[in-house]
Amino acid sequence: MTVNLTGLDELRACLASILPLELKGMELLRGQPHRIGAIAPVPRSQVVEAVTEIVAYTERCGAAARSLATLAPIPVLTALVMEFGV
Amino acid sequence: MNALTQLYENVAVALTDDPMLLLATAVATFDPLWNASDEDDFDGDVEPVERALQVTRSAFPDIYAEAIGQMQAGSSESELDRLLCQGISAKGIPLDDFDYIGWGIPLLALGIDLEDPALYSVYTDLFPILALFDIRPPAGNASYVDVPNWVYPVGRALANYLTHQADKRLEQVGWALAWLFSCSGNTLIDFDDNALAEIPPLTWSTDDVAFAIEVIEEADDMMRDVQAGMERLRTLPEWKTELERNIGYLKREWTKKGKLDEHALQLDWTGIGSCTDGNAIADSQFLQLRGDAA
Repeated sequence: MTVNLTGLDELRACLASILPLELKGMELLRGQPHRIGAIAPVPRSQVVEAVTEIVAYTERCGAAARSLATLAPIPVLTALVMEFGV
Repeated sequence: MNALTQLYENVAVALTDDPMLLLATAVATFDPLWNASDEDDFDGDVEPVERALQVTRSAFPDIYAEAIGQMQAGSSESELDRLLCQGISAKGIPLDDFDYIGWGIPLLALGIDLEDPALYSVYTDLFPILALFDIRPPAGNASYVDVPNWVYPVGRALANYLTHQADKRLEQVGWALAWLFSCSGNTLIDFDDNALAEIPPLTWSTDDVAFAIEVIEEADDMMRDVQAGMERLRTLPEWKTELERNIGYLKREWTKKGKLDEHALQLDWTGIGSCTDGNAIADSQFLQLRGDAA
């Protein structure tokens, strides 16, 4: 998907429109809050499914963070920075 | 419920009420190694089992998921060890423990060095074959074994010739010689422990894991042929006779010309008899033959 953003408001609106993330692991924790830091009898298959999904998610996050960290600089030609006299 | 457990319960519920905290908690619970350092940063300080989890997280996510599931179910460390070792082994990389897992993919060198005296105390059953190449076990505390100059060129020429024969019996003897003279083309077959330690280990990256599995599978296949070929040479006198005759021929050629033209080699192995179906004698049949001989 390609989105043309022309301003800060549009960027904010775009980010705000993203649906909340819902992962299997979150569902498991919500259903059994006592599971946090404790042992709970949940079928192994559900845990494996949750782990697999979250690993994929954290990998995607890591990849996105790496991409953001290596973004090429964008020349801001029209901005006035009076402190520097330009 | 006392005040302390009530407090814990309240915190747990609060963590699940806030979407951001819930996401963070889910990540911490189900992917505890999400922020683990890359393998390039491994310095040996990480506990082996933790390193094994890091490795499986990147190389075998399904095993990692199983391991986390087992941890969540309260399994003991020994059960976790077993799961990880068996899981990685089942992927094609045999693993008995995690001692060296952090340094890269552990590989088992299957090769030999004919000049190493230690070899001759382990492989005593090779003596009759090595004697055909004028190689004798070292005497006393010799620091190396004298291997005549002609042995490697002749051994490798024989191996190269035989491994390209359609008769599987000859091919298996060829692989036996390829192992003996370290010329199979497979690193695990051609390198002994010392030689393998000299090269950088494979990492746990996807490409390296796939390559390691391929090398290990190929080495296992080759070693089955090596063993079958060796058994044939050891137990069937006519094979040993034919090998000795061809060694003599190639040795004379090498001595006369100083080299061997492997592409033009035509060796006579008619003394071994024909193989009626042109296929290999199945290992199980051959082992049965050994049993009969014994």
